[in-house]
This record gives sequence, structure tokens and C-alpha cells, in this order.
Amino acid sequence: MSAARFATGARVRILDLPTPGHVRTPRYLRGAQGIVERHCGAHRNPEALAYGRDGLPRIDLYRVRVSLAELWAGAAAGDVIEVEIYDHWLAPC
Amino acid sequence: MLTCTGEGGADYYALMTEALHRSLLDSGVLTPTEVDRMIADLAAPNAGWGAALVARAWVDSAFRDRLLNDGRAAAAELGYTIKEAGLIVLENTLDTHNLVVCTLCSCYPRSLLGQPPWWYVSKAYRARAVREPRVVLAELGYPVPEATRLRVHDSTADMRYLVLPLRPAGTEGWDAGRLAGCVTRDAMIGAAPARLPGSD
Amino acid sequence: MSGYHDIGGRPAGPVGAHDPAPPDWALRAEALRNAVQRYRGALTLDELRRTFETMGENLYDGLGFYERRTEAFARLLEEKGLATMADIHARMDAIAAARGQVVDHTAKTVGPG
Repeated sequence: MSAARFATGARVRILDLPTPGHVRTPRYLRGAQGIVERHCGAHRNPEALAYGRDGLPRIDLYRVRVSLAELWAGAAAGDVIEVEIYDHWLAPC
Repeated sequence: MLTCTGEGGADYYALMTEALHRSLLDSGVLTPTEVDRMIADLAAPNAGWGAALVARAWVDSAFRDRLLNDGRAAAAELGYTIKEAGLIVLENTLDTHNLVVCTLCSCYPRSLLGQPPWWYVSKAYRARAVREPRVVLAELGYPVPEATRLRVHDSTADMRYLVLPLRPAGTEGWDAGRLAGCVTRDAMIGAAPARLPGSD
Repeated sequence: MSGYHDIGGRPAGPVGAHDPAPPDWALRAEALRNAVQRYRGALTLDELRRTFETMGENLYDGLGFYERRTEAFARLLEEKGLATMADIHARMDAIAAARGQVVDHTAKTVGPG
């Protein structure tokens, strides 16, 4: 099994992929930048599981921390959103 | 445009559930014993199980460290089997407060705590908790001070979340059993503080 | 329209600590779905989510939480060949008729006959 692509603390961008159907990357986070808070292991891909496929190979899952102020005007400066995002929805930045 | 927040259909789906139950038994997809067993399995987990983890973490700092490092493994030490892929425990501190939401559906650690509160699965909470969490917390009766940093966790994938609230003042010397009475379901989502039992 | 379930960040009404217990039928529906999932391995939570994400905005917006789950469960059972909506609706009609009630499968209501 290959090592996870991103280390804790890595800067990442959440992509806006045109994937049709069931995805677990909320729209409000598309394009946001953040840092990797932790690696959460590798899991079967829900985008395939949702259609009865086996979801293999497993995909690395990361928790990404995004500043709330980056998402919404008027948010408190120190507040953050932390969200689980699959590896293929992330790019380094 | 306001998110539509209809709550209709209860009688219709109560009737559909009866029909589904009969259909699944008649066709042999399920047996009556299996249905009874699953009803019991789903009814067993409750807020008290989560409260036991919190209380133990308050009195045992080594356990707290293990709970924060791997919630599923630590829960297993106390005899609780987490069926979801992972349990992440988030510690509230004097300067940081945690709040959990699932904007996409209703992810919640059901195998530990049972069914989530009605407001947690409401569309209003799911829509607004990630946008104006401080206002939402105030509406839930728990405004967070400006100086406290907020971490809002959107449970989007395989992990499930449990907030470890601050231990209330006035509980010095209490054992874990007594401390568990301070911990409510709402506190383990981050929507309320842990409180002395009977206080409001 | 797709993605109507993806509501994080949208404006919405007030949140209150309103917390009625789930009705017995809702707990039974959850048990039936979990039993088919765990004992028969016939469906997954991901498939259930995909189903309520595609059953249409009208239903998603108008129905309560357990109501949506039950509608999605029924549709998924049909997809898997484990039940049919026609049979489920017919059973509902029969149960209701025996109680002097009438079902409206479009409006999702049950009323006096």
C-alpha cells in the first residue's frame, strides 16, 4: 500500500470536479483552500458504493481545515470548518 | 431563497412501514426474529454510553489521551463497539469549542448514541451550522463567547464525531458514574455545555 | 435539479432545540433497513443516500427526515428486486381500507374514507 499523498499540515485546495451522481464533497467547499488536519485511513469510494460497485481500491481520506472567513464574509476570524475529503478531490497548493 | 423545510408525510410513511414490514416477512427477505433483534440492537445505544466515555476521560487523563487519539479503540475498552469506520473525539477547551453537523445527510455516531436529535437532522441546522454557527448556537441556547474559537465539523464521509465537553465546576472528587450525569446528548454534539444534573 | 440535498451554507429558518422523539414507525423503518443491509448484505447506506438524492426535490423538500428515508428504502428495495412499489402501495391501500381510510400516493397522505 502506497503512503498517503498529504502529510498533516500540508496546504491543499478542494477541487470542483464535474463528477456526476453521488459525491461527498459539499458544494460550499469547492475551491476552498485549507490545511490537512489528519489522515483518516483509506476507505472504499462512496461514489462507486452508491451504485452497487465495490468501491475498490480504497481511497485516502483526509480531514481538511478551512477558515470560515474564507467561505463567508463576516465570519469570525479564528473560526474554522473541518471536513473529510477524499484524496482525488484534493490538490496541493 | 429559503431552504424548504417541510416535515410532512408521517401518517403515510407509518403506513408504508407497516406494508414494508409485512412484505419483507411474506417474501422471506427477513424473519420476525431478525426484525426483533435489529429493533433491540438499534434501541440499545444511547447518550449514556457516550456520557460514560466522557466521564471516564474527565477522571483518567491517560484514557482521555487514548480517546482523543482513537475514539473507536477507546470505546471498545469500555465495552462499546463502534460500528462506523471511525470515531473522532473532539476536546473542548477554554479557548476552543467544537460543533458537529452533517450538511449532506445525517451522519451521527448511532452505534454509540442511538438516533440523533430532531434538530440535528433538520434542514435548517444542516444548512446554517456551517455558515453562521455562532448564530445557530445562540438559537440553540448556547452562545459561544467571541474570544472562544469555533471548530465546526462537517461529517462528510466515514468518520463520526463526539464532542468531549468541558467538565463543569463544582464536580471535584466525583467519580465517573456521577460525572456521567452531567453529560447530555446535545453536549456531545457541541450544542450545550455539560452541566450539574438538575441545573439548566 | 440535482444536488438539492447539498444544502450546507444555504439560508434557512431558525434552529431551535425542538427534539421530539422519533415515532415508533420510524424506529421500525430504520430496523427494517438496517436488517436488510446487515443480515442480507443487500443494500448499503451509500445506495440509500444516492436514492434520496435522486428521488426529486419535491419529495426531499416536503417530507420529514424519517419519511424521506422510508421512501428511499422502498425505492431501493424495488431496485434490488426485493419488493415492488406497486405491491407496497397495494398493501397500504388494503391496510387502510380495513381501517376505513383512504391513501393518496401522490400527496403522501392518509385520510378518512
